[in-house]
Amino acid sequence: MREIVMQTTGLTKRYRDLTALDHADMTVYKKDIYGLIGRNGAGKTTIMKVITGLTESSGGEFRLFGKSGSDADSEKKRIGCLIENPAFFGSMTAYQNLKYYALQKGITDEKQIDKALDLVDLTGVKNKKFRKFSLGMKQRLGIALAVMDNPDLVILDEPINGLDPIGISELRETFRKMSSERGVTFIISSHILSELYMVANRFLFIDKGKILKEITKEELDLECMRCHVVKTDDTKNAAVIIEKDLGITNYKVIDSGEIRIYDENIRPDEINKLLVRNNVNVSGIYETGISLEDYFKSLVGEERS
Amino acid sequence: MINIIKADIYRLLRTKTFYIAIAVMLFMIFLSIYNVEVGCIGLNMNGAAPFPEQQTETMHSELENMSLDEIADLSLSEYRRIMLNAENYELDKNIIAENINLYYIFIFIAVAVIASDLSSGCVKNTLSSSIGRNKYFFSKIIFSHICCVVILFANTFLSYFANRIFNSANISAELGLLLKITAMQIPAILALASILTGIAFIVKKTSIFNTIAIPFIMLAQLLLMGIVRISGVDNIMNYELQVIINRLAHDPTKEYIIKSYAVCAVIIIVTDIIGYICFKRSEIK
Repeated sequence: MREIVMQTTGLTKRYRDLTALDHADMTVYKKDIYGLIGRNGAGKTTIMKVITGLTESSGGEFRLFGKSGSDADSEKKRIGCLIENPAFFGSMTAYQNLKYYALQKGITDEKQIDKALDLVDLTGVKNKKFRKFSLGMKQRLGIALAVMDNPDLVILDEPINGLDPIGISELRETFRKMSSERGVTFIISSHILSELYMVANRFLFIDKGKILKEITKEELDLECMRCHVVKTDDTKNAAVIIEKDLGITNYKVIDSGEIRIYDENIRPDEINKLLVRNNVNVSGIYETGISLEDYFKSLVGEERS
Repeated sequence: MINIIKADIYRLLRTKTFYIAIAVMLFMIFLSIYNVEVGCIGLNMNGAAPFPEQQTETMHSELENMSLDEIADLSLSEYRRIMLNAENYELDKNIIAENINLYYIFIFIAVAVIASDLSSGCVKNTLSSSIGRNKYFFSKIIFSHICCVVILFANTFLSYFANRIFNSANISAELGLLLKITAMQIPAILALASILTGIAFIVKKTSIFNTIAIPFIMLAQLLLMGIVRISGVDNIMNYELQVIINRLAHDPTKEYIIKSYAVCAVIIIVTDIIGYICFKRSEIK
């Protein structure tokens, strides 16, 4: 069984009349690169702020490394994060800024500062003042701070903002490497699904503070893949017929009324004929397959598109 | 907590604001030493409420026999010569009596230690780690208070030695006495520091902090003077912070010391509690 790093149950955050987070349930396992996807103002940052203690929840609870309440506070030292815009002291250099936080965290080994700067490719500009940094460099310094003390969980809010394509690609590799080699868990938010898709292995779709879906990458691939959708009230028999008579194994029973067949060589009328001949009622059969963006749009509803 | 203070010392020493504050303090001392008289902000102490218990000292100099016009016509070197030969005049003690001037130096400290951290959003880097709000709040309060006390004593030493070196031992008090007065002023200085840290934690923005903190002493004094006029109780002004700092330097009675310390304690407790509640409840952006 996989170790749970972070779990929320009914997590809610209200600001007077606005419910920024509405009974959110999510589970993040060790080594996950967990993507939070939602439009601006969907509630992604609010989840991160509650977990990191920058704001208090209005209801529900969250567990960090198996601990909740005040015990979870002590586990915060295992978290590194970058929430919203990277904020540092403009009059200090990149190195001095990291040294300041290293002193706060009681990090005595200054090599860790150099390592973190090296990881985000800022070694060459470590003595440059923060206020002279470009947006991408600021973002990278924020990431360096988040990973500086070798955390077990890294929370990054829109980390690719302002980064150039090469920078984004390098960062992706860094995340993957840290996850696979050091067992670091990541929670990364973005409103750019295609970017998140390339790095995350699990996804959480959120809109208007409500969790729409928590899904693995494999499940997301299946949902978006081109396929034939068979609508029937007898999925059990239909599945047997599809497998035995058509010799198709690449299918999935979605629920009690829907089967998806991912074999594009078979024609829908063939499937229909065979099922009807075997006394299985078919109420609909059609081809589908959508892009990630369309999938997200379909989740958040028509009014959003 | 120690780590937060260590980090703040590291940052403070790399902040221009800190060096500007020190430069301003040195300039203030230099002006007082050179002019052989003390400038002050806020209340004119001659017009303050009566204080019959106090042992007032009277300066004796050639100036007593001169009219205001004659004094105004004196050259600076002539004025300095007269003042350097004055009797019962202790310039360094008078500088310390006007330590309310340090309020503006403390503004620099509150900005460098607290307001800039909150205003820039850097505080979220701290609070999202293992450092909780309580630890953060108390570390900042303790460190800014320590800075203010260090500045207070630095001001005393600098005033004493500069006066002895550039002026004359004739117009200087004993160092022991000056240190005793300085130590007695600590509660009032901490009250000033608490007012500033309280404002910083309430408003969280440097620009708003400056807008409120700079005229705060003046506004507080005007408010108290209004209350005195309405209530007719002159005694209230004796417990205004500028008056407390001044009178603690002039051989105050035991009763006055106790009462003024009680006022300082109330100010410290109230401002710290308000600051704490506002900070604890706020969302960090």
